[in-house]
Amino acid sequence: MTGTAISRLPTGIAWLDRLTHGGIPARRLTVLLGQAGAGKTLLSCQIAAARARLAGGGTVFAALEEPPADIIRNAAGFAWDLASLDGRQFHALDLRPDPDMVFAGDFDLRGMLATLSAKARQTGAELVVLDGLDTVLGWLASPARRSAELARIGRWLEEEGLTAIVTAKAERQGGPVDALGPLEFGVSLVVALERREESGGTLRALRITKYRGSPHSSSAHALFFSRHGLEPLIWPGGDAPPASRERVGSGMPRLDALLGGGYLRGSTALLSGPPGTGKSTLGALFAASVCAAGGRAVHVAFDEGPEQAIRNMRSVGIDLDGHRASGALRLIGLQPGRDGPEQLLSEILAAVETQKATALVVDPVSSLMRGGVADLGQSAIRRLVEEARARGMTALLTSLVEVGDDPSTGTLSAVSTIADAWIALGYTERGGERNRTLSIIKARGSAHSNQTREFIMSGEGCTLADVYTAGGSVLLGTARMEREAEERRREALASLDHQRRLRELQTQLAEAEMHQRRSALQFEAAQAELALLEAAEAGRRTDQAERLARTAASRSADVPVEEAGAPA
Amino acid sequence: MTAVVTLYVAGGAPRSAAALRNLTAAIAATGRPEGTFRVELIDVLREPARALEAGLLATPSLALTGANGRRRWFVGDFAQPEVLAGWLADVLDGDPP
Repeated sequence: MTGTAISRLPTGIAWLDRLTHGGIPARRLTVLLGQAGAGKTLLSCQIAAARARLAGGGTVFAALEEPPADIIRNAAGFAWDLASLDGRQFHALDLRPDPDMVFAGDFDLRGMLATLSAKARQTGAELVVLDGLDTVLGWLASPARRSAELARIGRWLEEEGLTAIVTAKAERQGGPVDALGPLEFGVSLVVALERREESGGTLRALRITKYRGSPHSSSAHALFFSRHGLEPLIWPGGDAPPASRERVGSGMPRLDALLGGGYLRGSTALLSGPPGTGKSTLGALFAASVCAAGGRAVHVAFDEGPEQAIRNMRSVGIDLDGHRASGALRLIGLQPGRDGPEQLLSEILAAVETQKATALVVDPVSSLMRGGVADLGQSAIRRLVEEARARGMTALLTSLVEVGDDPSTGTLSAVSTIADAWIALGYTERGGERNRTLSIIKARGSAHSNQTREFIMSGEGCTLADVYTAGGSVLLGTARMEREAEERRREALASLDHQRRLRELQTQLAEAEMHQRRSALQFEAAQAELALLEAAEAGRRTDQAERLARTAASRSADVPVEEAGAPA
Repeated sequence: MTAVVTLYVAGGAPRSAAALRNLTAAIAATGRPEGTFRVELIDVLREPARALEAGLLATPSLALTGANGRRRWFVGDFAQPEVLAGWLADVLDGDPP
């Protein structure tokens, strides 16, 4: 081996290429070790399918243990459709030894390598999988002969320019198989697959135990089966895309305002609370709101099942059925406890993927922890959060908190540290009634309100109400309504008072005006009377003068008119 | 009737020569008339297509199709020709051990 960097063949499986820093060693031997059922054969098929998809790369698959038809059938449940690749990029060879084969004397594996060379040349394949090589190597008498044959395979790969994956059973957890001999010979990469049954779940893990010429970490990576085959629960190396600044409506405008505009797209919010505090409602409200806005949602109803969820939500004015009918909403019921966390996770992810979901509601996420191995459940939830972030899908996870639970333990503490936002729902008891409350405990990337609100659910819908504080405690429900009624009464009284005063002033003003008008009329009347009086007086004087003149004329008196009038 | 015994070897490895020698000795040891077995020798390094056709796993290997139509495989360089002789005779008679 020279000091130069080794050349790698990408497997086409993103997480595996990341763990192996770019792929398996090219023109070298990679060994997948594991006990029965650990997923060795499946992972090698997964690699074959991924390579076919990556660049149309072909694989010769030498089936030394299981018939090829069974191998293809076992892969049928996965998204990669091995059957359609069969004969095109996936070239299975049935090399199972005849059980009546007789061994006598020494032999080597050149016959098998000649078979594989012929197939690889015929098909142009670059990758060869030897599935269950331990069975064939086991025929060889001594460990030294097994090592020699592994070394022969190594040389053959270099000569033929082929890359090989060998799967072999490990006798014990993590240990190299005896049938493979010392793996130092010829083998560049050793990947150990582990599988352990625990109550309520299957723990699967992958560990790179040897990678010649390449840095590697030998830590175990927890795996689970998704519709893509084996996948790590926690994405190796993480690199989450930058957090979105875009907001997604919660379905309640007042909650959006509290959150600084809504949930952040691609973020995960935890809704925690005791039974009946409205966790499911808030979840359904969000799903319905996303669908109404043209998004696509997956709603997982663990406890009650889809039909019950639809009925319950209809009673608070949320129409899940309509969104389900339009295809925007995928409502699924899963059974916690029956399946382990990894199985539930796999079903949720499959639904998210086929639905192309932009929003996910898991109600409650604590079901992923129920009955399972705590670590596994926590990893599964972490995986959901990562998936949401990677997809730009907004997730709402509800979590039940029993009264008296220690909040520092269990699902809540596990999820609350992973989640981007945490909304606590609760009850307040006062005056013999319970009222729902909502408060935001944390919201990463948001200037959120710290105030508690009352969460009101009714047939007309859901909303938040302001709360009053009295003597340091928050007023809710009837107490809040009484306070509100009192305020309204006071307001009414004040209004009444104002009205009365206004009317009084208006009356005074009107009276003053009338008074003014009457005075004006009296003034006019007096003026008119005065004018008449003066006119009458003038007339009278004129009349008198004329009469005197007429009398004097009739008497032919020479008495001046003035004098004649003097005795009168 | 002639039965074809196909011997697959990989090049001129010492094991190949030993296998052919031991096979010849075994055929003689069956005591069957000459011409009962016809040996076909295939070097898989020269004719890998024949190896693929047979689904060959190990070399040297020997294939013999018996009276019942079943092909039987013998793997190794047959250090004990007399044991191989017994197997060959049994397969030929269609009554494998």
